[in-house]
Amino acid sequence: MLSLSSLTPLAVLALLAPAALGITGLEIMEERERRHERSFEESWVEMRLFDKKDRQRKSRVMVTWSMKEKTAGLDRRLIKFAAPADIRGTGLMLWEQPSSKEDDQWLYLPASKQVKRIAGSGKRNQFVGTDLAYEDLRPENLAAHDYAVTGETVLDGARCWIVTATPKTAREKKNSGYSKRVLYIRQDIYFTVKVEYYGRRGKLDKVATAEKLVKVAGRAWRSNLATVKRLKPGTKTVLIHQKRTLDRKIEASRFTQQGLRRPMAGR
Amino acid sequence: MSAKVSLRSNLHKIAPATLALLLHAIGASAEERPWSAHRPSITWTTDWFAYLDESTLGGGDQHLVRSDLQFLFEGVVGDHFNYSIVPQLRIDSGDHSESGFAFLEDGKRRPVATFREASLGWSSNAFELSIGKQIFNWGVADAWSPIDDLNPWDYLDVPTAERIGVPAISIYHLSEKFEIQGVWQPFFTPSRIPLPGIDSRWFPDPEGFSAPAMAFSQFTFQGRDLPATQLENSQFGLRLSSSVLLDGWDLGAVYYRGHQSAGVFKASPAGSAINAVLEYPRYQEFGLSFATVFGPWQVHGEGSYHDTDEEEMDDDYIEYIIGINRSFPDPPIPFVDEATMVIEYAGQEVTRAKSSDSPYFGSRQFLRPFADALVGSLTLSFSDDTELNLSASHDFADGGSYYGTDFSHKFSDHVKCSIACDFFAGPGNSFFGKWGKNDRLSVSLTVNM
Repeated sequence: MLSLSSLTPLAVLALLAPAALGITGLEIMEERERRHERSFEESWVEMRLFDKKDRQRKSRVMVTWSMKEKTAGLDRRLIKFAAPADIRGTGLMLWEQPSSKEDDQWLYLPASKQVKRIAGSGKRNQFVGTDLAYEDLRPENLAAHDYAVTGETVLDGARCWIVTATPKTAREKKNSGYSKRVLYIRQDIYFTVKVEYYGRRGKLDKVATAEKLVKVAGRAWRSNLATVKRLKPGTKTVLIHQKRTLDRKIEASRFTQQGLRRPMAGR
Repeated sequence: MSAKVSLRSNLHKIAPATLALLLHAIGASAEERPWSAHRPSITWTTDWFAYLDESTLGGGDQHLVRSDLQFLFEGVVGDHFNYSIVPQLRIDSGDHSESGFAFLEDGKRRPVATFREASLGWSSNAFELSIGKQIFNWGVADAWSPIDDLNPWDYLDVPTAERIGVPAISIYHLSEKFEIQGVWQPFFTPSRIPLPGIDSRWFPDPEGFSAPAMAFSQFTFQGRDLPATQLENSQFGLRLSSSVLLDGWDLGAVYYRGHQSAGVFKASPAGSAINAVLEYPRYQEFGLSFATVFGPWQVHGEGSYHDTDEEEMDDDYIEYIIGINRSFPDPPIPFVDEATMVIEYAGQEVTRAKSSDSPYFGSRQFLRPFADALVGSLTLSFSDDTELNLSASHDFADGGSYYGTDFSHKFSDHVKCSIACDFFAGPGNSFFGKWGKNDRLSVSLTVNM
């Protein structure tokens, strides 16, 4: 999936030559995860929504908190909207589960003060009117996909692997809105700089690219500017990073239903 | 009545001025400027209702205009403190509001000015403390919640009923397997119900009040006997919940002790007439809830046992609701992007009925709306901005029904308009039958910034 940590940190691609290369797609993805995933991360992102005539029609500001759960290393993620006013306070919480189980998801609507557990079938739905689907917000689930190196290319002067990810488990095949994703991963920093999403019927649906890469800690990189464009409607969403904090401990209680209700921090 | 006249006469002055202010603010907000979490957000809503039936209790006209302005200030200070403050101003052309400011909303009508919420919080890794006027929702169901006792409700307009904030202290603790929250409410806040003199187009039928065999309109309403503010009358709730005890399940257990917020009427002879006083029985409640997911289906349920202290004041009963939710992306319906469905069944079993000669009556009027009811809604989303909601409810026990539609469209992130209709049907002694004169069309405009 185009996880926020890889989306903000998204990165873009290159195309290229036949595979081989002595490294498997899964090994690339595992190394990518080792390098870029952090125990704790908080980020503020402005999302600008553009219509097919490239006019900005809306914007949203969202805050995401993520942490790796201690025992199994699974991801817990909380997203809250800070603006605009009509969705301010709306929250989404995701608990990653082992691939044999469905991830847990909850939605908080401030108007009713109610936290609702939601089903995974909504994963392919559009996320609050953006060009992202709910499943794009999940962390990459390595156990639920097959990864194959299908080529190499050069993007913006950087050599990239082309890794094709296809759903492996029956659950993922049923619930995902994508028949495959083609990821372009920079060979020098193992960072995803472009993703092509193919719909369930095999047609290219949307393309995400990452720019303005910055090294944030150790070998971890992030993108400060990402664009997700859906081809059929011709709309796009631009994600601009406003602020990011890594490795600063986030309370476990933040990733609870009570934490989902709590007001968000000021900047 | 003077408040009512004053509000009506000033409404036309206030609304355009408010509109001008808000439109100016929208223009300003469109400018590129850094966003700040501490900046308040503002929501202004104006509803216009046109009733299909000309009957009213108060002799008012067939139209009602209501306007509500809310400011939201919320944020976090330092690592541990947070605040949430929601000043609210509201007026209407009927008589649902009364002038003045009230923090504790224990009046019969809505205060024109109040804080819908005003609380300060402190949190650490495992503890959270919040003090102030707050709104809680421990329920998991959509239509209504048998375990939702912490906040009273505003029933002056049943289709748009809303929770009323209450002063409370809340303590929350997170352990490895459980979350526990305790809420203490030192002051009693009653639900707002359409008492005599408030024109809510609510027509209680004499048969609905079986104990005193005469029409409610023949009673002389003597007022409300609110519980005194003292320690033994305070209310508290406790909730133990877990989302990790059983993988994929949200489980909750709730205990509540307090006073029924809607109250029951006590009838007493007064010469040739009968006087009625609204009293608020003390009770305790034990509740359970769950929510889980089976594939694309979300399943939820909750139930409670309601135990009244003074047996002659009300029944003891079990209430429950169980339901399913499902979302259908790209359904085979033209122009529809997504359909979302909710179906729930709500039931009730009386475990101990109060005696037939009890002078108390009316507890089913607001406290127990569903005895054997099917409730459902279908939302069709045509885009992120446009949707149609259809909802219906039918109670097989009393024959009452409600049908509603709401078509809404967002013109931008800041402006939303909706057109809705509400229809009530059923015998005069049914819950919805009593609201039968409220069939209406409405237009609503919401401005956010």
